[in-house]
Amino acid sequence: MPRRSTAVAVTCLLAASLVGCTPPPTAPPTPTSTAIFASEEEALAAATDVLTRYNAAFDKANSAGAKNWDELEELVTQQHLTELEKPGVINSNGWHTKGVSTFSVVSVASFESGESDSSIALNVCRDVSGVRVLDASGQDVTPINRPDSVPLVVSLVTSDSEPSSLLVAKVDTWLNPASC
Amino acid sequence: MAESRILLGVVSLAVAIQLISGGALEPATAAACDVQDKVSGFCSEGGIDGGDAVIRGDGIVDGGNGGGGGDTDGEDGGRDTDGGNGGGEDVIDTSMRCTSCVEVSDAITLSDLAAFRPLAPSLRMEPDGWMLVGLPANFIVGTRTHVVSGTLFDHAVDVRFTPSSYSWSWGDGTSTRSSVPGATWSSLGLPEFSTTPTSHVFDEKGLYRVSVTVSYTVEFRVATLAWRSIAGTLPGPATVVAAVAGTAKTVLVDRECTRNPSGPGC
Repeated sequence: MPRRSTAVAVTCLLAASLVGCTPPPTAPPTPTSTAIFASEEEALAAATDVLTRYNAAFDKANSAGAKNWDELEELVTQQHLTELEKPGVINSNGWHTKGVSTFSVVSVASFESGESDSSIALNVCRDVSGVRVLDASGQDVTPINRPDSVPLVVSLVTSDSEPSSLLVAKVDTWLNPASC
Repeated sequence: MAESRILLGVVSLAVAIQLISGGALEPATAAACDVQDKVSGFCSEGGIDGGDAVIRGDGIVDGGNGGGGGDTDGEDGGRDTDGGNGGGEDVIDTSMRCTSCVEVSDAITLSDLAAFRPLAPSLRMEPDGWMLVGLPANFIVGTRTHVVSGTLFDHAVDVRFTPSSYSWSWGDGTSTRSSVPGATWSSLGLPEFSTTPTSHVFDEKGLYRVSVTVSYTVEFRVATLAWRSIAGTLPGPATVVAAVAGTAKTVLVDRECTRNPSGPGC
């Protein structure tokens, strides 16, 4: 207990310099047995599984011109689906892709587990070296400055309707070039 | 011991650096860098706006139960200048974990913009200030890799400019480009009036304004993270030197004309 208190004090001090820091909540602690994920490893495994399907569906959608994102519907939050449907370079130019990508999870950026919801964010390197962008005539128009490995932060949250499953809620570029 | 319900209260400071692209990139880079392009790797990490390297930061100070290391909202990167090709967004993952330290109600979004410009190079020539019609005059740019520092969003930002090529406008209607800044005849081990990669021959007498523009490759870093390059090159400010081109004839003199101006031949 004393060790934990010290840790709280130190981290609160760090946080206070950024955003201020309120005292710990007064609600009594809840045993982990009711948490959705018993451990970070378990959440990571579930998140990786979702991300694998997300990645495959993303490749598939882009290979068909990035017009139809229905296959991702069951893997993402409604908000993220809306974000995904905003036209990007491929869709806007009438292009499509060929090939598949892979990804590797570098680290867990954050993990939070409660009894009603949980979230996990992963630092991911998405290897797109096998994906080429083609125009309508089949000519390779892959942007020259596209990296082979795209660093991303993928945030997943538990589904409201089915708390044991995770959904992709957000994908952002991850700035940590040493890792991809 | 019963562990707290919140295993990790995350207080994260996520800073997104958005670079506004003004240069000629691919034909139809998206105006805003949305998720599709982020995941595809199309969000340009570099942008140059005229003579400036423009770096924009958007960030969220995110606390409490929101979870997620590195959040940022997809702000439009295309509203700046030059028809704004897609600015990329990068998240610096500087999450600080704070056990049981929670309840910052709403995310705070901050935005900032910083422009960086390389230092003007010096330009000198030999002979100093004059040249002989029909013979090479040698020009030397004084510039080297340098770092311009600033702050963005309370983070230290360094922008590093590395000279990559030199565009010469000779003032006689001709221009050339060199890959070297030039060096003096003596340091090249050449006799005076030799041809060098940065020499030029003027065919007519007159006053010429010779200018050089250095193109720089640009990299930036935020705080102590690694350097990241920006696509394209950035033209630095032009530096001009004026010089007179004249003719010369060989005469025998008693002493140097400066010492004996009234001597024969002077």
